[in-house]
Amino acid sequence: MWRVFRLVGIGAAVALAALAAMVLLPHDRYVRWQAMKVEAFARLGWIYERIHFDPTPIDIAFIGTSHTLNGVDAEAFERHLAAAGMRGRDGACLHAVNLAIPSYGRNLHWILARELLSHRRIRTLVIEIFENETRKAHPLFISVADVGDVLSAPALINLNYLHDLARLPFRQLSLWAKSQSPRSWGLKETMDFTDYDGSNVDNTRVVNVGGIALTPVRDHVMDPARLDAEASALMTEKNLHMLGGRFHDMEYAVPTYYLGRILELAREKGVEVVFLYLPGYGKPARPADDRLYRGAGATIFPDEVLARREYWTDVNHLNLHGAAHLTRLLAERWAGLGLSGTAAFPAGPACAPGYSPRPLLKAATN
Amino acid sequence: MLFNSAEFIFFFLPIVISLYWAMRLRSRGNAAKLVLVGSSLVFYGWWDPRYVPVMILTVCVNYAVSILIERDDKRRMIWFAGAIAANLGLLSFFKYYDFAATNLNNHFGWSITLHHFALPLAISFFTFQQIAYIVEVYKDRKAADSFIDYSLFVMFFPHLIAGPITHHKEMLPQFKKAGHGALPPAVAAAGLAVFVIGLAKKVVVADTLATFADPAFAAAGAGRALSAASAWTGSLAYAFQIYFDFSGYSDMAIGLALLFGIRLPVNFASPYKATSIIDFWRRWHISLSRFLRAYLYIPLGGNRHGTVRQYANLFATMAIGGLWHGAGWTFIAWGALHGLYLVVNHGWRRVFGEAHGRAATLLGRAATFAAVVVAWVPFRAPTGDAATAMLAAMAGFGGASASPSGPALASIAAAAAMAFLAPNSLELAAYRQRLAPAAAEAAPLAPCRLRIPRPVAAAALGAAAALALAMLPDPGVFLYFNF
Repeated sequence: MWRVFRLVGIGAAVALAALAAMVLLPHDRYVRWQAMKVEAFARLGWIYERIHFDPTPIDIAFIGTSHTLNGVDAEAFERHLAAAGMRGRDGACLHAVNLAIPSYGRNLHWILARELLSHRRIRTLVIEIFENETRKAHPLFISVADVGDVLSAPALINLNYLHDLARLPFRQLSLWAKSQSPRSWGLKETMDFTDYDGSNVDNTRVVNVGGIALTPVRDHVMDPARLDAEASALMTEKNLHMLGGRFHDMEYAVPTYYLGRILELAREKGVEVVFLYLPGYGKPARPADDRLYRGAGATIFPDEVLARREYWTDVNHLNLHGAAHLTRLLAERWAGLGLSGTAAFPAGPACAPGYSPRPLLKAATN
Repeated sequence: MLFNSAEFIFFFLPIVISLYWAMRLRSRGNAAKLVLVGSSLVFYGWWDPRYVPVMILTVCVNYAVSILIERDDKRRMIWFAGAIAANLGLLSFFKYYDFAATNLNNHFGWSITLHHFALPLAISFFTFQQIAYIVEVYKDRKAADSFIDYSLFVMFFPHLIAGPITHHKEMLPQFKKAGHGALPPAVAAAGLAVFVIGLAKKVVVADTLATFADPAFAAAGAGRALSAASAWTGSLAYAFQIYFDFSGYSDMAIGLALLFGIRLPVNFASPYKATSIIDFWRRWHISLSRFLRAYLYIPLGGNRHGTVRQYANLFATMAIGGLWHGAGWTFIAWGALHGLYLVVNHGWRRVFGEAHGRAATLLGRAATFAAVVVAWVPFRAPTGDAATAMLAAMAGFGGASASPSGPALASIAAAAAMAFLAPNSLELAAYRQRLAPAAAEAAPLAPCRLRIPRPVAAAALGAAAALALAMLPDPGVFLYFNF
């Protein structure tokens, strides 16, 4: 009997040691950011390339969810700013980039913000906010976070903590294998500007990654009656305090932690923060709890865009008309935000746009 | 619940084993068996509890009818016929109704309403098992002694979802004895070892191969032109995926059963080492082959009415076997293709006799494997058109040439080496194919017979477990769960 226990013990010890060894395997960070190749999530690879390899300046960066991804055309925003004479205090053109990724989760926003602010000098970080902070952790956090980020993530109340922890050994093993020969896995070993999505990728007209169109042209207008009905249903289901008001801080501990880290890093780097209120249609006019944002930066409330039914392709996302209006409105409001890094000059030509986007998009095949 | 899920491995299984062994060590046999019945129902209902009543009803009715067949001399034929009709009716209702209605509507312009019922999990397995039981009770006039034992014979969770299709004569005596005394440590150790090997086969090998097979078949389904290389890569990846998926499941089922002191029949015996299609069907899904032979091929006449009739019976049996796997023409095509292979194989033997020697063995193995790979194409393809496109691409009539990915080729090569060259896990554990039920627990079982020290074997299993556990968070469904 004891001999069997001893053998089982040996097996268990080896299993644990092997799992630990997998976590320690090294890999190429560029490979890590490219490895997620599912639909719009694949833009993580482009984000890494834009931050690390594309020398086109980044003055203003948008971070958020699909609301911002579909709602802000960064290149058009640049052009509107230039046309309005908005430049940096040094007179330089302002280059904007939209780094939003679908799905909710401040933990991924932290990873993106850290990657950006640690490697580029930017003037303004625009952070998307909703009527309340989401309690969800981002499903892609485990795809791009460092091992330390996963191990040290707040566990309470983090619904993805165990999920991410359990995936870590195989992620490391898989990334190690892919780093040995990235090309074999359809990944790039080094930056190749002939296979690059460009300095700005517009996802307001067609959601696209790697030259593949993931959606048709986003000009659909949702039936107004259905839009109202769905928005109303969502508001009825809304529960800001699933644990009760007394546990508010615990319930929102994870987003508070990560947003706090983003704001702290921005302060450290001298980056100004602007909040963009971009919830779905029919949501409250202001966030339920704005303590997190108060004093950290100006907030833009694009009420006139959010209220127009013809601007919504579904209850959460603006269509291309809504996005065009929002983009224009953001540029119009920019001067009024009192940002120290920005000043008004006589209207001038548009900035050099950097690398062009891909000329043709192929339709997705499945 | 999947065997390869965290909730099964870290939650369900430890609880059930603890409860069962606690009862067993106190020699509370019936309580121990009730633990197994209850846990089997929880296991079955985990995905969709709606069909638990169907399962309970079918077990109760079949057991009751078997008692009537045993005792009611005057009407035993009626009870027998009624039970067979009811079982087939249940299976047809859930599995084949929509298929038949769709075909009738399409061909005759009828408008039979479709029900779109969700298929009760494992209905094909537990229905066939109970049909075999009813037939044997009718022949032998001997029903199961105990309802609990009968329930376990049908519902015992290690084999409930994807087989093997057990025979009551090999299982009921084991369940009768179950639940008493300490389990020999070697049996439990062998169970754990075989389970870990099965888990690694499924999670590490089969699920990895699925990532290369799925895109190829999806592309064919979407009407995209595939190159010959891509089509072959997809087909070979699927051939080894289903091999390691089913082999892994079969190992896990046997390993789990051993943890409860039960020996399940061997269902999978290195089928890609087969040197002919006849040999293949003695190694692949052995319990289904046994069922089809005993309850379909032989009643159809078997080989008792001349060569032509024998071949027709073989062909029909295999086509129906294809239909058993799923209500679709692609499954029937797969079964018919294997029927044709068997006819050719028997015809060849009749004309040329059996070939012997190393060259004949190698040639036979290669030809058998190629035939099996080709047949897997309609089995896996989402539609007949996709299967045709895939086969055409494999024959060189596809799109522009494209070289397959290195990882895909490496994975296929590694899987092939394991399937063709390595001993299978049951050989390693000295698990006998046939064993008198009474001797089940007493028979010696070593967790590993390789000529390496046991601690090294334990360490190797630990490493395999680590790989499997690392990949566990995103489990793939067992392919045979669909049948």
